[in-house]
Amino acid sequence: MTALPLEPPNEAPRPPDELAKLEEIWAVPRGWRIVTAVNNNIVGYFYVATAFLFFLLAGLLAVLIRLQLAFPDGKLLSEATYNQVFTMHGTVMMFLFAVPAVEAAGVLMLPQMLGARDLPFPRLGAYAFWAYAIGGVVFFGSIFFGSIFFGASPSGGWFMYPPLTNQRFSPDIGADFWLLGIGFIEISAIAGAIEIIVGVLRTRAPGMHLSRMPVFAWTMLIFAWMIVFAFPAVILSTILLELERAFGWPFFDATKGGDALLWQHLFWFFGHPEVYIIFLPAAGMVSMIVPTMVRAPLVGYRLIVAALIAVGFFSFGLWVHHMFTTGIPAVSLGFFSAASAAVAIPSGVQIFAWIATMASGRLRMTAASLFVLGFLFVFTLGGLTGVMVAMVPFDRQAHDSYFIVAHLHYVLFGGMVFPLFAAFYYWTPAFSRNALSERAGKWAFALIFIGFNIAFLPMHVAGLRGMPRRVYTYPSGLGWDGPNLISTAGALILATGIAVFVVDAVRKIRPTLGDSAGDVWKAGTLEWLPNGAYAARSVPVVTDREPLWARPTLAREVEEGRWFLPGAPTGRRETIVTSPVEAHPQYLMRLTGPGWSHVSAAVFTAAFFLLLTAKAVWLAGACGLGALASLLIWAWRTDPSDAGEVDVGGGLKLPTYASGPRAHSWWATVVVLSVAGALWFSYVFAYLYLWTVAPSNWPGATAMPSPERALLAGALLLASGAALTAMRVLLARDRRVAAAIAALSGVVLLALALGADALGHWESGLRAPRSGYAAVVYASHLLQGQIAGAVVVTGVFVALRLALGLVTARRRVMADNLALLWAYALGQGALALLLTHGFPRLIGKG
Amino acid sequence: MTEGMTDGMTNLPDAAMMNALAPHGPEATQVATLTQVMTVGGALILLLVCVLTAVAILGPRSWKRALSGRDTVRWGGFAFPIVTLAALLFWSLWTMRGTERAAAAPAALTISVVGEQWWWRLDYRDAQGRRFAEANEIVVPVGVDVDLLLESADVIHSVWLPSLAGKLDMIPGRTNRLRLRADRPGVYRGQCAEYCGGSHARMGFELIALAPDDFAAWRAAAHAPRREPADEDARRGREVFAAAGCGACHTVRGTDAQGRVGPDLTRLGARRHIAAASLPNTHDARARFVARSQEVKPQSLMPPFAFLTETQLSDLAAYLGGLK
Amino acid sequence: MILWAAFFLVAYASESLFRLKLGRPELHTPFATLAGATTLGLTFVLLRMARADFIGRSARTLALLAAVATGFGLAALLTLG
Repeated sequence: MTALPLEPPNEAPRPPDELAKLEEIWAVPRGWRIVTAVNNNIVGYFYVATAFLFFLLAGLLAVLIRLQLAFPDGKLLSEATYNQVFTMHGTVMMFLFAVPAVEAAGVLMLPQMLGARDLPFPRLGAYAFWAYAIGGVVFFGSIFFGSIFFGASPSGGWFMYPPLTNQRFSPDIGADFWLLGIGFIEISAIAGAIEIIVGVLRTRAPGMHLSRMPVFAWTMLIFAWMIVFAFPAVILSTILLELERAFGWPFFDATKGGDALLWQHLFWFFGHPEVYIIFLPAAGMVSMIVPTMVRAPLVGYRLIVAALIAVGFFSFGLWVHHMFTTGIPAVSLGFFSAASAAVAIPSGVQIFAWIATMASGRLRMTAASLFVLGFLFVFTLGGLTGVMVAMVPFDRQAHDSYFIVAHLHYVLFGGMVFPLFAAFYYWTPAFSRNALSERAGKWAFALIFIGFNIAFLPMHVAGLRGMPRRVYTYPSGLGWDGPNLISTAGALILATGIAVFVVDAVRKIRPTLGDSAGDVWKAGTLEWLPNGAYAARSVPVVTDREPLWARPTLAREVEEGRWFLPGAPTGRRETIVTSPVEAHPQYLMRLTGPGWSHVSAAVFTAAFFLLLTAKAVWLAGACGLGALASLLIWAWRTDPSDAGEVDVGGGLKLPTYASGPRAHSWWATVVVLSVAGALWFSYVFAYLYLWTVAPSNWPGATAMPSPERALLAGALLLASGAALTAMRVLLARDRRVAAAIAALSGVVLLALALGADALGHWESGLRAPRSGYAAVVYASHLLQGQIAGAVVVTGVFVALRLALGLVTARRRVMADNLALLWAYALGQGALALLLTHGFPRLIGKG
Repeated sequence: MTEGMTDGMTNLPDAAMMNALAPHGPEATQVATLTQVMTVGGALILLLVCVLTAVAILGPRSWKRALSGRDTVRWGGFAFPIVTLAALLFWSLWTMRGTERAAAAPAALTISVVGEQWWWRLDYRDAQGRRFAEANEIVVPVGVDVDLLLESADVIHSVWLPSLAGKLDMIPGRTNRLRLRADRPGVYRGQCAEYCGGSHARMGFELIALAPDDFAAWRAAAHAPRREPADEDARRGREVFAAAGCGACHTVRGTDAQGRVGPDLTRLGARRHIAAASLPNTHDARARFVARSQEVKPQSLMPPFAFLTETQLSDLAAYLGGLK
Repeated sequence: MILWAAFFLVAYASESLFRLKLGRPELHTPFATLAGATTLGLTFVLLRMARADFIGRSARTLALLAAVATGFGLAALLTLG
């Protein structure tokens, strides 16, 4: 491995047409065709704006809530409307604002911060945005049109506990809107997570060792992995609840061997990491802003990174603290209380690191700094009430009361929204022609900070005086009147502060590619390099955590094209792929440009979910096919063939194609399979949990269906595995047609294996709606079907490309990814057989 | 008899009836102490963070230098939290242990409480072991351990009496046991603390702690023979009750009304509130509730009896007020 | 961290196993305590083996936090089991 140059390797001035060609290749489509754009900056602008729009809309709902609750026996909203309003406030804030906003920040800023030209899968990021935007707008529209005309908004609270949300107690369409609506949000989040993981780990500037990576990139990496492992739990729970609503499969129905607590376990296994998913990137932003504002490097970088990883891990072990009052035995509660206390430690580590950093320099009191200080106060207060509610005896009083409402807003608004405003004031100059107004920012800060505390501090008192959550009104004389009135006043002040910001933003923000206000803060990280549609003109070697401080000439050198990749050697959009830890350059990846297939995929995906909600099944199916067709067209245009080695500057020659575990799409496939694995793991939990709830429903060895079908399924799986091996061996020998046949037959065998198993259960008379056991067995078939379906489609696709010579022994990325997916499906299938056929026999008589 | 029994209870100030920081039961008392310590401790820690931040930004150079190293992170971020959290956690776990042990001893009285949308179905056993039903107003003897067996008839509800104990959920398919003791005679207010749709906000209740003799008298009177209605209008009200079909959903022990869909009305007249602590138990409130129940408890199963005339409603209210 | 997660899973899942399958719920606490002590022990061994570079030092901090969390969890088991 040759050492990386410490001085710019290219000569200036650069050839005259190099820049022009770069600009042409990266040009953004004009006019309405901008919807086909895939540049991370363009998608990022749309993404941030859309997320903020949802913040404002959900905030208006909050104002309605506060107006209704200002006085006892409020008459502004009926109970039906209020219940929809608070449900939508929480749902929109959590799913349509909080996670997308930080994901948007990542899409907008990560490539520039890391020294890449774009995210590794540009269309995937754009798809994630469009699916979210279209679905979100239609979903939010449900509250206005729904409640006015049809009463169709969900009203079960943002965590939608059954049995309240099952068909019997929520017969209207609102709950289905929520369940299926969450579906495209989940897809969007996971697509974003794939981008971010592969982008952060594989497309950094050469020399940007993990220990030199900006903290925001660390937090986005952890954020993305948390999404990978947490979201599948809520995906599973929404699938199960929708199956119960639509088909009567009794997962949550205690009268048939289901359990309402199953939902709570699955939901909160997602829900708790979710709040850290929201908080961590915001903390990462603070770790970027504070060093710049004090002009000193971050103190305790390594401690912060370790703390962030610890928070990521611990957050998966806390979920039962949302269930402390359900009657679960004390020893379990104590265990989760202990873990909830432990997570406070790494959260607190960051606070002291920021204090130490501020002490090591001189803090400039800008609007961004003020929002950071506001964050410190509000989030610390919220964290302290969090420690309080982690203690079970106290939580038994505070749970489901306004104390919790206060706590959650202090940590979420404090922990995410304050940093978001700080981020606006800090980073706008990098992306807009004008910076925001410092004066307006300070006014906005004062109103927001004061208004927030006046609004939410009294809620602690109201909660301890007995005011529960989610009440559309309250009687006078219980001591709740005063706190509520004060809270409403505070909310109006807060709203005014936000309005000040909005006015400032509308007046000042002018998103641009190329003539931004620039590095007004004299910051140290790469996103402050001059940039255009192609990100930075050239890709520097990074030897420091704050490259712009370590090398004051860097910005000029990059702009002159004296570092790597000053042009486009393959004539396409490109970025350098580097090794995950040390960021050694490995190959040059070619990226796709604008197109329609991902947009139509997004439109059809959103339409599919929304039409299913409206029970227009055939139309939904057609849109599903449309989405699939779009995906296939999209995929067909990936995987360009090898273009040999190219010179990226200074004599560094890089290959343009990589296959096997080095390929970036291999990594993406591994991430997708992690999602699938997490989904399967959640399923296994559900299966075993329902057994502990209703063991008498489990058949036991003597009552099981005879094992022939299961053994046949196992044999078919083995045969499919043999076909997989055959495909790989044949492909290595470039016997493409034979490999195609192996692929086709193999995936068909996989599908048959699934069919045989399902048939076996069907023939034994097992019917899903009859018991929780039956429902969970058929849920296994459903999950198998999902993965097998993906394998079949991919198998046919790859077989076709093999036959056409577009997949060869050298150009084998798609076959490698198929092999990964297929092997996973075989593994999951085998485990499913062991579970559903082996476990009942293992436990003896039911 | 039961008349006048609760009259003196209204002396208790309202806020004291329902306040986690004004405890009148053993569990609530322990939690209140924990709460106060945590609040003071938390406030001090917040103050410390603010002071350190202020010093970091505005302090003299030597102080800033002292704060600017990794030791600040190690002491403030690791050592201090580990110690304080360990102490707090252990206290909290020890409290839980005490509550568990105390709850293991048998209770003097067990009451079944079933949560319904949006009221509370109560089931007692009297001294002879006979069962009798009540609704919405839990009466207990003061100073003894009482177990509430919590179940749900429909969705998840939660029983919360902030002045007495922590809350416990009612989950379909499970029975949860809430151990309480009221240390002072009086009226304690509670509220459903798990969103249960529609009129969740109107699902309150009261727990009345009586001196042991008063409680014994109350319990003994559960199966007392029904008295004839005192006045003419109450007698007419009884006819209205029967004619309107109220007995299809409600029970009045000793009469033909044996419905179990809605709350038991046998001793409605003696209660302090109606409609799950939503309205005071006055003549006008009773009449209003019968005529326009959906305004008070939207989405509940009680249909509005708007076709009854003013007189009929008034007579009915008189009859119901006499059910003691 | 992985060790802590494994301890967590073992402690959580074994409770049902002991109660329902083996019918000996009283064995759960000693078993889980043993698992916790093992985790702590392994953590300290790994702590001493870690290299002195960025990844090694970060791992040491993580191990410290995991040990604290395991300790807290053990406290819960011993107090309430």
